[in-house]
Amino acid sequence: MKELDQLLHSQLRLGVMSILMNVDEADFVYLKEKTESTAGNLSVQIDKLAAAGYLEVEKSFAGKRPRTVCRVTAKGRMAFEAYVDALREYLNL
Amino acid sequence: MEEKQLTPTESIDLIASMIRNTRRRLTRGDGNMLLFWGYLCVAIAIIANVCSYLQFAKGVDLPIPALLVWWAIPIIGIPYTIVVTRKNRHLFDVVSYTDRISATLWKYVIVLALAAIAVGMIFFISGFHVWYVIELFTFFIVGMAASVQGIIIKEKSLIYGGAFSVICGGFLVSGVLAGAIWLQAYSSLLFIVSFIVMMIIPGHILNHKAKKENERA
Repeated sequence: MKELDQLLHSQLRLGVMSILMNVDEADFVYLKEKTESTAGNLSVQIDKLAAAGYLEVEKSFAGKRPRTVCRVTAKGRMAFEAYVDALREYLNL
Repeated sequence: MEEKQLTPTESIDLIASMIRNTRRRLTRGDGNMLLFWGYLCVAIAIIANVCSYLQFAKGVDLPIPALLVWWAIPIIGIPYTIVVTRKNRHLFDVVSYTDRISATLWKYVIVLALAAIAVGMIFFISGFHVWYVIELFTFFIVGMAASVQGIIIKEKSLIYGGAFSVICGGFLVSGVLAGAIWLQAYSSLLFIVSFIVMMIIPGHILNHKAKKENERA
């Protein structure tokens, strides 16, 4: 049986990856709202995903307001697909 | 949501719920760009036709040749679109694949429009009046783009509106090739009708749907 990717096998990180797999890019505020998480915790989990090369994080300014945009990388996409395949095996789907 | 380990079933449920959550809703003003281009093209076409009538039928001496009035469409439309798109870029906190494909599609149409204008200019400088190239571009390329946009956002009025424009273009080309030169006189009327059907009606329908969807949410 395939091993589940431990980086993705946590509620918040999987939530973030699921959202980003479904859109082209998303703002930090949007991710915070959709995952109903705190800014601090979300920021830490995004950093972990980015450090693993699963996410690409772009920081910029929208007027005077700082803006953080996240995108899934090709590596992240492959890892997510492998994770879903592994889940299917576990659940015999 | 927090940093917690999941069971495989919880993982699948979480993925499904996040996908449901990010399903794109129509937003107020989705039809505004279609309405802007639709009304701009119709208004300029009417003004250009009135100017042509005054200049050629009534012999009125206008400050600029009536044909040049058509240039108001790209001169007003393209800078406005660029400014509004840049201004709105930061208003949306999520960009879907649909948004990206739609934006790329219309950028491509603008590039092709500029190319069609350049072709028209080259021939004009060489002494040939082939402005119908630009008109045909409008019927075919803009019509096709409107239909594709309709397919992307699943809006039937846009699909049919775009198809109507392409059919108008086909009708015009066939008529001119068959020697029915008089058809060219009606090309401006076809232009106006096709922009009403292809952009103004779908634009209002989209805004109405967005308003209803936002009221329900």
